[in-house]
Amino acid sequence: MSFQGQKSILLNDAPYEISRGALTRYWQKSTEEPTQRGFFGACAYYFSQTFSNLLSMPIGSSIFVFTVTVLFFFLGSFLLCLQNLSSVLSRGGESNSLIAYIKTDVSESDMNLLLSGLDSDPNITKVDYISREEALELFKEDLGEGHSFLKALDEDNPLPASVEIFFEKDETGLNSTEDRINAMANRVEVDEVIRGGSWSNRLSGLIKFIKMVGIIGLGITFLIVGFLANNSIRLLMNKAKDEREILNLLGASKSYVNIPFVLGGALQGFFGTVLGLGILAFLYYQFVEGYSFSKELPFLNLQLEFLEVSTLFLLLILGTLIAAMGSYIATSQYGDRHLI
Amino acid sequence: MTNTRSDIIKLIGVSKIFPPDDAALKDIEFSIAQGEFIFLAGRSGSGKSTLLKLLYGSETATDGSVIVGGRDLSNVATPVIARLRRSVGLVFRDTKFIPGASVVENVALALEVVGVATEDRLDAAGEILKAFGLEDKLYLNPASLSSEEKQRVGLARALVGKPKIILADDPSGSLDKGSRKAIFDILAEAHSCGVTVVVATSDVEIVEEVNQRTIVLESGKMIGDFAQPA
Repeated sequence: MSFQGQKSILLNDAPYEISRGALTRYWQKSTEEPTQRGFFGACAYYFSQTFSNLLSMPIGSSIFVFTVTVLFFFLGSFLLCLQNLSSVLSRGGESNSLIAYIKTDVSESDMNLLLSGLDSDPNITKVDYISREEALELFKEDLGEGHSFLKALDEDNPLPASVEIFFEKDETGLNSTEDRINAMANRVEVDEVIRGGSWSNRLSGLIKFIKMVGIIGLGITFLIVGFLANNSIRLLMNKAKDEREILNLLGASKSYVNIPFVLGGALQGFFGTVLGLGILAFLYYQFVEGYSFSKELPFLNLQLEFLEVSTLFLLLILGTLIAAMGSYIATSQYGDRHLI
Repeated sequence: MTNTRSDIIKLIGVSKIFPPDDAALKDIEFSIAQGEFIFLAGRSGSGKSTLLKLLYGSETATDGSVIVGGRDLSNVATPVIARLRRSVGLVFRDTKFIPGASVVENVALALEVVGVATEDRLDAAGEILKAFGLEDKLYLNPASLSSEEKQRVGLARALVGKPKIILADDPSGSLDKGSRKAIFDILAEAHSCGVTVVVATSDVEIVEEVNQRTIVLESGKMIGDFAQPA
């Protein structure tokens, strides 16, 4: 097809800065299909577009990354404390001991029967019996002499006798300390049973509470990350509104237009998480690792360990995914309104 | 009008009502053959732009069928509309460019969305810009161009992918007489290459000069379909 010679609909006196027939030559020139960029080319496009979007709002993007960094630094610190506290507790529980308080009306013969039964149990390594009188003496020693009310206790001793029982370490895990406490508590001679090692006993409750707080904290952290990603991406989309509209008018699909924004949110989440956990790791290995705490907490025998690689990896994936989800929601809620 | 070619655009009883009760188009019915050059003429607010938006799927008809390239756009999914737009070149009065990108990059965008490799799309964009006399403007920011140059860049972007249809919404509205002629020269040449050209305009002078089939709209109604005089 030639431009020249066809029935002209051109205007008279047109200023021909444009060379006549040049468009026709362009049209006729190539019948070959242009080279397609392929999968890697598409990935390169999406990533370059993503970085271009992020760099178009450097302060906004940095604030989001910084906030995620702070959140994951504190979350990581919290998990680090929780992990080591659990470790200390489990080591404390290794003593496998319990204290059974004996009812005051148990006769001496029944008591001897109970003690001989415990002595003959192959799972029990040691039994320490403390009579009511011995308990009172220990109580006085703890308080110090000279308290007038102690004399009253001599007349009517309220303290019960007790038996501290030490078990063989159970390698099979079939007999938990809880099972042993329950078995002991069911005996008619026994009034009350507590786990051996009072600090360990108290921490057991505390650790459950901290774990619960940890789960709530984790949820709140992820909600904040998702919310921040959503807002950050909204701002970026608003800034790139014209560009998104142009691409859309040129035939770009919604996903083509939106992918760089979702990717942008995910990348910000990823970098924020890496930075937060990286700073935590740096501070830990710089200042905490190798410190024994033997002076401050001699009874704990602390052996601190940093977060496991699997935990770090999980946090990284979750941080990235939550940010990507927040961004995806932003593109669905806000971005699509401007497209097609 | 008689033609032996197949219809590439067909509107059947098309109405468009914007809420609450603003009828932008009422019972529009016409068809455009492949390779035809046609004006949609009318005063401002007559419904020309809305009609063009229906043709490129930016709006959907309240009633009737808008068939473009054999597909009824009243009931197609958005990916189909995206594909349709890749075979349609759009030209606007207010040329829409990406500010941070150069002239050649803006033109290459049309090939980018169809997945053409970077080198090929920049080559093609450079070539068509040279054809339009803009070889020394390739790496400038579009904002630094004159109105006519911007419109030529807009036309280059619309034509770089060799579309089957050009939909132009008042492409010469902001231009002086000389520049208008330059723009219509390009549209005419595209038409001679077999492209169906639909131009919405309120410029009666240009309609008379170009002298092609003209559909006239008034207050959303089609009041005339004037064939190209023999």
